[in-house]
Amino acid sequence: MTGIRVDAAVRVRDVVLDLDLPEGSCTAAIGPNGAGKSTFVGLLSGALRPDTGTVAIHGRTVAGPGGFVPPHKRGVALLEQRSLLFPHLDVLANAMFGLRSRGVPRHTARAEALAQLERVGCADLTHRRPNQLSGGQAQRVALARALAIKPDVVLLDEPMAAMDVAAAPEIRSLLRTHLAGRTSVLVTHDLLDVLTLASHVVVLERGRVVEQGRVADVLPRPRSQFLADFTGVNLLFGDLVDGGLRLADGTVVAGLAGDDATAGPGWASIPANAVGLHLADPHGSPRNAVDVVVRAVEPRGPVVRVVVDLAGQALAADLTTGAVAELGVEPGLRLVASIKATAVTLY
Amino acid sequence: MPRWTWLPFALGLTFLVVPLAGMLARVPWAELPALLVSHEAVEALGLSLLTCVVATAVSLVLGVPLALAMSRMTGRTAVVVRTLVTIPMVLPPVVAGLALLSTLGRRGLVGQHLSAWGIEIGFTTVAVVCAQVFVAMPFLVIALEGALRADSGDYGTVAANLGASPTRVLWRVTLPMSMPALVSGAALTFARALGEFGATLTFAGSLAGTTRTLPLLVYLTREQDTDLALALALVLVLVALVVVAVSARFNRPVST
Amino acid sequence: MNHYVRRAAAVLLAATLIGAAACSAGEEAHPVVFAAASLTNPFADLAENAEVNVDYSFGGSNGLVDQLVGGAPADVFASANTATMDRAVEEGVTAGEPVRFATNLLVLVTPAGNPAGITGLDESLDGAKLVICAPEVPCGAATAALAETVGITLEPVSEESAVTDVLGKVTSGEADAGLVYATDAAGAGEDVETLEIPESSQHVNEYWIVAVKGGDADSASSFIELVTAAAGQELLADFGFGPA
Repeated sequence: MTGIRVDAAVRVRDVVLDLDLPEGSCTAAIGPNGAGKSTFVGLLSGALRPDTGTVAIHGRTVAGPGGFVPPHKRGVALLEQRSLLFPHLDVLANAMFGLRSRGVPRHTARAEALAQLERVGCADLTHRRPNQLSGGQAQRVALARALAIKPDVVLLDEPMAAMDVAAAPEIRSLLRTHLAGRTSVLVTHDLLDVLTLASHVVVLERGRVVEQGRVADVLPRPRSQFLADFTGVNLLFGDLVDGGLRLADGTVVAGLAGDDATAGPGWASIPANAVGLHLADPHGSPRNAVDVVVRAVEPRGPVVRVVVDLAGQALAADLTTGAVAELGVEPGLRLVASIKATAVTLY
Repeated sequence: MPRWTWLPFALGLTFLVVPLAGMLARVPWAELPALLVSHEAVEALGLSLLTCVVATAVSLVLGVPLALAMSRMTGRTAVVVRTLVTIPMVLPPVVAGLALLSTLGRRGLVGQHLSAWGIEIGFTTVAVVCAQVFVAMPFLVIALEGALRADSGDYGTVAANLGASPTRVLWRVTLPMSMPALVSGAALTFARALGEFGATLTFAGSLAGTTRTLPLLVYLTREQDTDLALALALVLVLVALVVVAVSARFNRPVST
Repeated sequence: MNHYVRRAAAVLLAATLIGAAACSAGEEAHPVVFAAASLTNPFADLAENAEVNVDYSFGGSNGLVDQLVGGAPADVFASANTATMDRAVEEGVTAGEPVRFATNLLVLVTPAGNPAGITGLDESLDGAKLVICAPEVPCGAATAALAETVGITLEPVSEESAVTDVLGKVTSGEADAGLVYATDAAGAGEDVETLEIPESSQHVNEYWIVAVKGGDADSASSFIELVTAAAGQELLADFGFGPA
């Protein structure tokens, strides 16, 4: 693999990373706050030096025992939450900055910068100052500025987080067009970004890589509570037995086993809307019926999320307000949860 | 703001403005042109402007790297260095003069070696500039350091990732972005250098055309020729006004 | 009851009167002397040696005359120059004739060891760093007059506003030579070497003393006596003053 290879540790932040990102693809980096996402970005951009280990980009070691390549010699463009356009320069000068820094003659740099601005739809803004731009315009110019240097890698650190709802889709589709075929890393908290922009995903928790792989493989089968929450499904951990997952208290949750399911420790993922709650066993054949105790109740838009305790693990069910009232749900209440076996994925 | 604060406001403003007004009331306006074109006045003003321009330039050359390094320091080192830099700002002028005398004077720590090489600073225009830089440069350093510290360095990071070397980041991003602080700091430095008196008197002496700057001339003439002293004082006030206006004009951060 | 109160009041009153008398008797023994600042040290020693109590007020001669004109209570006024004493007489604040009690001469001082080899107001000053008072101030005016008498053109590296600044440049070694008063040179002690200038006797700075009108004549005359007597003159000489 000649994409990005990181096998490095930053001790002061207790981050130890070991991951490979394929060349020419966009990898989403997700994880809770403080999981090590910005350390990851810093290691790639050159803002951070690893204490041990190496960082290699397209086969070139940029940090490691052999030396350290400073940020300005890496060819890694960074697009952040804030556009960080240089306030003392106009749009065109901003777009030209990277090219001029790399010794491109003025007229060539100007032409390339203009072409790049054209591509992001900002050709008419060349002589504006950054403080005369909207948030979306500024981010588009920042993208043009970053892409103008033809970077080996584009790092996107929550590029749409500070954007208003109207501007975000516009930037997202721009990114989709311009990141195609480029090696890029996208740090995000938004599932939509992962689904629309990334082909690969890396899940970080407490400074370690907990999952990595293709989005299509990783997302449907979360193996971490974070990813389960991120994709909005319940995650149960137990022992895979024939046709089900056996929990700590012996309860078996029946479901559909994937091709890769083998006996032993495994997971079951259950969408919250596939869980029903009842005062007594409803006796429906395709369903699991298990005893649960209510832990918490929280309103979520049109539905109410009821979190119940199932053999020591949390299980969320989305109910209508009418159903919640009918059941008289309150913490401590004993209920029976019914789970559609066809909605349970075992792996 | 409660309404009663207008009273202390009025008192405070009065306290600051009335002495200036009092001085203006005594300025011999009718003879002003004649006084101001007198040979010694022109000579002292010329010397003052020349030395202040040089002192400000020297302060920029020495002070900008100092501020840059300080803005990257943290913890105790930063506190110690900032305290050291601030001392000349708050030192009584005569003490500053004595400090320079015992360092750069003929028998001073450094001066004795310079003297052996045939370089003697005392009683020269260079001594005036030394005194001005010593007391005025801290204003530039402190103003610039504050601005650089407020800038989180994110723009520098972006510039570096775009391929700008650290030197290019300094010249094309860091310094242009702190230009308001740089200009207002330089203006304050110029103003402080213009008003420098005690250290010059103690260290450089007072000779027309060589070391007798405008404040020294005001001091010398104030008893014998009050009219000339007041006329010269008026010039100092005017120059100070211009400098403060320039400083205020630029003392606004660039909006991002 | 009333009787006791009256007696108590009488005792109190008596005590107050006695106290007041004692106080005024004490004041009579304290002549109040307004004197030029340069006399601070010799006059303090003078009172101490003679074991008399004197209330001194030292300051610039001109300022002291302003105070006397303004009605400040004093018995004696001692001036550091003739012009100021003339002004005091013109203003009518003096009683009797002023007496000249000391003189002060300009001398040439060099840092200890005389590193530049200065020999006087002569060619030895060529290329040396000379510091003098600016002509705008009295000691500078005297310096200019002296230079004219000697027939030399002085080329100073600095013209200071005060004689103490001249002395400071010499004691610090920054200047090779300076023109100051003999009393200043004496005050600097070992830090300077003093070269007398013969011609400076033609430009003597004179110190005058006089009783103040409205003051206590007896204590004034006894203090003036103290200053002009042999012991007082000797003491002034120790501080570098010339004879009256």
